[in-house]
Amino acid sequence: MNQLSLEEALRLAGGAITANNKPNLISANQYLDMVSTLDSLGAHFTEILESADLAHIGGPLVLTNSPSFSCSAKVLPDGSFALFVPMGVPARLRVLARLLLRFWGKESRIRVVRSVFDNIPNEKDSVPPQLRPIFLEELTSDPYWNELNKLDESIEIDGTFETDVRELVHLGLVFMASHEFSHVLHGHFDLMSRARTEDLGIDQSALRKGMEVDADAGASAIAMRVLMKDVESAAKSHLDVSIATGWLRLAYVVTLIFAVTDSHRKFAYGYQQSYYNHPMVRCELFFSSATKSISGSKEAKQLWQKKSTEGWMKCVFALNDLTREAWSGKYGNLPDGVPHAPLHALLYGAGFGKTDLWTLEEMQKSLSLVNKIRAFLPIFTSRKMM
Amino acid sequence: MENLDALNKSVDELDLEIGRALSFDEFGSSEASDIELIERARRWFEINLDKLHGAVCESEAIREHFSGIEAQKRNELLAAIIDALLKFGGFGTVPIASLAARVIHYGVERLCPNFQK
Ligand SMILES: [Zn+2]
Repeated sequence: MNQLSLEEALRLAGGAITANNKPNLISANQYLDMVSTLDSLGAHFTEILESADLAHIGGPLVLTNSPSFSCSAKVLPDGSFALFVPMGVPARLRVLARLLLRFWGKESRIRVVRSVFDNIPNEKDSVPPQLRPIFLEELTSDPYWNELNKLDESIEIDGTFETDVRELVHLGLVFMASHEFSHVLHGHFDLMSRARTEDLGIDQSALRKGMEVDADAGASAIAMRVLMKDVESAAKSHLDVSIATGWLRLAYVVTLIFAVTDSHRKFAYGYQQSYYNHPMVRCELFFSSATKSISGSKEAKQLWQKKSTEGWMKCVFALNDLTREAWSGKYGNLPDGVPHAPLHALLYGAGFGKTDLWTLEEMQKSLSLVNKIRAFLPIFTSRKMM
Repeated sequence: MENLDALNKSVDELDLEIGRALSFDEFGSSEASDIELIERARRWFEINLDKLHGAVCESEAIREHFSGIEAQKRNELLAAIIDALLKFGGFGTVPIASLAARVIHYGVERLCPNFQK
């Protein structure tokens, strides 16, 4: 394998973002917020590696100059790791949070009727022009930042939501960077190399899919842990914080993340060749793994259930309201003959209906795949897990 | 010959293949988009121009073929570049035929100004 140096890997990822080359739509203060999120996350990751006796494998966590919405983890020639978070992640989270929070407390609760079992081709065409920088990835840097900036400037939202927007971006970064960190912490790189030379009795694509589910499960637990620790230390400093609001926001932003992820691939069976599950299944797995990670009292679990359900539901309602606005032509018209479609792939059905059962079944399949994979991962077999 | 298919591909198609290969040994949080993979391949190509120069521009076989613009000569040029890249030891996970075709799109005369002397 031809491993790249940190410098080469970073150049490949678009180079580092600094205060001087950040896109214009991100203000100096917003940039500092993003950098301090990564800084504090780096400290949490170090602590987790230390508690797993893995302190030697840490590496840089870098915000990169790319409009992509996918973070990445790379192994460097010395065995350490680099985690890259493209600027496209916090920028999209910020603009979509601003779009969605306009509906907070004013949700129309109009439902979009559309099934994940409909396979409709060319769904990309159904995203109206001004929302394309949120839901699609089709532009290179310069035009991308211009388009996102135009959309951001067009948003009319009460300034009192700014704290919520900042916290949503913060927690969104925590969750997404924790996914990459879980690949490192759980030893996925070693397992991938092993699978190239050894027959592990599991085919390569199932192995990769299992590792992605394992990373989502790890990210859910780590995001919950980071949030709890941050709330505890803020409370010690007599800051006005509450875990209930933190959980509400985390549930809201994770739902928002999966609304953006693969939004053009709504079809339930469109993921058979992919290393990732359908976003609805990934979102469900977050809620299930986060719930499992709460070790506190029954009251704590009940509070999480209440707040996480509220965050998820409010986000889905707002996504539907945004879809309704898009259909009214607010974000530009679709090309002639292109039908309207929901903007996102979170197409929930009735409780215990076909969609609901399919989601739970897929989640169960994924969890049993994760158990198979964890049998190969020393961090789980030697019980060093945090 | 399978390698010759690479000559019929556009620069974007070749970059997409190279970008996919570059992502082979990394993990992501979701599937990287085509545009991201293409961008990554372009950056990789820029970063590796010196190495590619080293691999391609010392080859007498390529020097002989590079001036031929006719289609049949392009096939021979592709084969000569593939040979030179393999002799260089390859480029990790990047498929050699796609990379050779990408070099032809970039321009052998541009990569190897020494051939024109
Ligand atoms: Zn991943």
